[in-house]
Amino acid sequence: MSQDAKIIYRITYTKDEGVKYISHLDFLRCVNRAFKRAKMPVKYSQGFNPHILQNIALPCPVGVSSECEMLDIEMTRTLDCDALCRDLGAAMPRGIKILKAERRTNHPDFFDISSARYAIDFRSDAPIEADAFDKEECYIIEKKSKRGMKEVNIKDFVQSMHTTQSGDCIYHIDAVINAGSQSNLKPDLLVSAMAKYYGANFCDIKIVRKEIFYSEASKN
Amino acid sequence: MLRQQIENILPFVEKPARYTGGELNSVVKNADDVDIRFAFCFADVYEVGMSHLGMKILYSLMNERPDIWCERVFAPWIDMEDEMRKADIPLYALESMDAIKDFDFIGFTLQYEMCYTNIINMLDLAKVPLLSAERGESDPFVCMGGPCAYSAEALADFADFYILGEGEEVNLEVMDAYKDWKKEGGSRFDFLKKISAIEGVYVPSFYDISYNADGTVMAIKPKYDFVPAKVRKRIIKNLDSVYYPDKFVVPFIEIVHDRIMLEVFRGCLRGCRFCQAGMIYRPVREKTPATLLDAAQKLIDSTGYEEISLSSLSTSDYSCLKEFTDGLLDMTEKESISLSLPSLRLDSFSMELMEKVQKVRKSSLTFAPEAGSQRMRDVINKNITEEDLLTAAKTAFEGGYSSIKLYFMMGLPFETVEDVCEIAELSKKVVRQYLTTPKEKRAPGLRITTSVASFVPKAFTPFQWAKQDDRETLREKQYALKEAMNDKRVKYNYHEAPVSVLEGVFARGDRRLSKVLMRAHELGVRFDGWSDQFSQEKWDQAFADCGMDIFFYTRARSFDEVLPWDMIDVGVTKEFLISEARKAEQAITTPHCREKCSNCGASCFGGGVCFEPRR
Ligand code: SF4
Ligand code: SF4
Repeated sequence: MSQDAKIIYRITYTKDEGVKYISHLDFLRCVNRAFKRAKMPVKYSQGFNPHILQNIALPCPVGVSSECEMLDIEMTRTLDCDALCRDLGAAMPRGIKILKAERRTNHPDFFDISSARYAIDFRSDAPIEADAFDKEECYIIEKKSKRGMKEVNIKDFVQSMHTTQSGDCIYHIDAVINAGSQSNLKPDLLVSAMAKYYGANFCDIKIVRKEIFYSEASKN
Repeated sequence: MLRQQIENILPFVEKPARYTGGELNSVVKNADDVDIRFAFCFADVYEVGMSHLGMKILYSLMNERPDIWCERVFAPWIDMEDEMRKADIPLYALESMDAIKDFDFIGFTLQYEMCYTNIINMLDLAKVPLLSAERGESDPFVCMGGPCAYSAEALADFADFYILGEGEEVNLEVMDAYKDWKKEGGSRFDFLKKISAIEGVYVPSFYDISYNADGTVMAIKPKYDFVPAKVRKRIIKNLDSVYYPDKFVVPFIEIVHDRIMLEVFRGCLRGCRFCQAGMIYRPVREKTPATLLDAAQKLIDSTGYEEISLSSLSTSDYSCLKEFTDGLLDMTEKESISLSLPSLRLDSFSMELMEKVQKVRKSSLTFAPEAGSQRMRDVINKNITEEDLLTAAKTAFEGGYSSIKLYFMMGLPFETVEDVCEIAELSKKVVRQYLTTPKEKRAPGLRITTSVASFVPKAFTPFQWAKQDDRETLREKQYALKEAMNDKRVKYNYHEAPVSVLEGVFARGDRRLSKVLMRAHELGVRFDGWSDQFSQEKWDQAFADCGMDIFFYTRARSFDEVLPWDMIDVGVTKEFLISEARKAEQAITTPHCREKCSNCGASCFGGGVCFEPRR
């Protein structure tokens, strides 16, 4: 069956500060229950333990809030997108806002997500030279991989970053870093690498995912 | 703002979502719009506390009122506590993330004795003076309720007042009195004086306790003439019309009972003599099927939960069980959610019902004969015969079950080693029952699990005067049982429980134990209910440091001894409890409330099963 024949909706939503500590699995259960409360005609898998057919784009790391979350959900019949948006929104806990719902047609696949833009705010315990780290070509960190800890150049994962001072020892980073199933960097790792680089302690860290990008190959 | 400070430590703790609130149906109000801020505390971790039905009820009930904001507080786990102390973050409430020391009330529900040290630790984390006597005009009132509150004298130095019994009415009466008191202006004493006139409110500091030379209580005397000599618990007379929430807070993380719970009735007909719940919740009061089904539908709609369960003491005794479960099964089928049943009695209807509910998967069945020999079952008034058990096992095996769990106790009054060894015999008879079931009928993979807990005598039961077995005696019995249990097909679990001795100490303690609790707290004792945290050494030291003796509290009492909780009236009279204790000694059983009223005293509340027409 082709994608189009299935009734799949792509739902875009935000996760605010209050729900950023929810793990991915817990979030899935929360969404399930929201669909149930909204009495949506979601489609269930066959089998002994039926579950709803949903797919979440790039699970947000714990501790990160987001303005650009997406999920695909299969329904048994077509729905009015505005109604879907409104009813699902009403059934969600207050930290989750539904921005839009659209019938999925030729939307890119979540598998083709390649990077994401993050806005990061933090306070340093000592003044830092804001763009020194930005300009580095190479900074080696320990990164967890499937086969244990590995030394990597973190800058290989950073497509662009721009750090500015926004207050007394308060800084702001706008960064696009690798994200997705091919190559992924958690934004908190970038922050801790920076802290190490500057020999400072960062606190009051706030990370917001602003945008998701797909690889060139998917844009045909 | 605490929020930012809290966020800074959350990356370093397990399960940070325990500490951030924001769940569906949690109630957020504007602090400026309310008159009373109430911190509802459960002295255990989030997953345990959030599973507790009483908290859900009172949380919703209080928040229905626009002038009250009730918020939830749980005990932070060790890792979070360490981070909070390091960062100097006081205990806060989940909804507002405000420090609870600035609230009007801090209320604890006492569900089990082994949470008492957590309560003190939570007050300490909250930066509220630990002792009632040290709290000043700007401090919140600390109150305690729940099933242990009837005999929580050990906490008397910490509690400003207790609320006894079912809270739906009395809690709001106390809140109203608080608003009046605020308007009138007055001291803390004035407020406590005011509420001590409300039935169900017990102010421990208003009573003088004197002691005999042997350490027993000599007399309990009210200090002032406005104080009642006895405080009677509160009940809801008409349970069918009582408030029940149409929403539950739905946690993000999985909790212990992560489902809709319906309270079918309160109380229990049976009167097993070891069972505190069976006495303190008397009399039985039921809800009608219509009320229950209505509540079920509303909760299904508002929570999206995938499972619903029934929460009552002995659910098979519900007089409208068939009508209700038929309706409920229709509903769960329509909504495609599952129904989970509590352990039911061993009768044929219950077996049928289980059959209907567990259409696909046969999980294991649980039976609780509680004692091995018929004599002991008569002693404890557990009206189950060996035949009942074996018939039920037969039905179960023929119905395709192959796994049965059996629950027993040891250390019961009047028990001999022979009685204990009968547990092994009975377990083996269940095995034999399986073997005699025709092969083509029974499912393969027999699994019999026999679990034996140590009995803990509780206040307001016929066994409140009984000696609690010490660890050595229990060990001997346990060893004998292990010997007798020489059958590999029975898996035998014994809960090695030094903790049950302490539980017994606090369940029948007097207020001099407040000192011991304080000392234990200073020694860093908390989370006693978690076996990996429990430290016998620290407790032994706490008792020694205070010059107190554990065995004083586990000893047998005589019927004429003044008991430390004699100022509390749960409805059931001492005369009834004594007559039950005497019958226990002679292994004479007592019929349940619907067979014959035994005039236990609980009819004084003027409602429930006491006034049903008898057959
Ligand atoms: S049946 Fe017995 S053990 Fe169970 S709640 Fe009732 S009195 Fe207690
Ligand atoms: S008064 Fe009679 S019917 Fe009422 S609870 Fe007591 S024994 Fe049961």
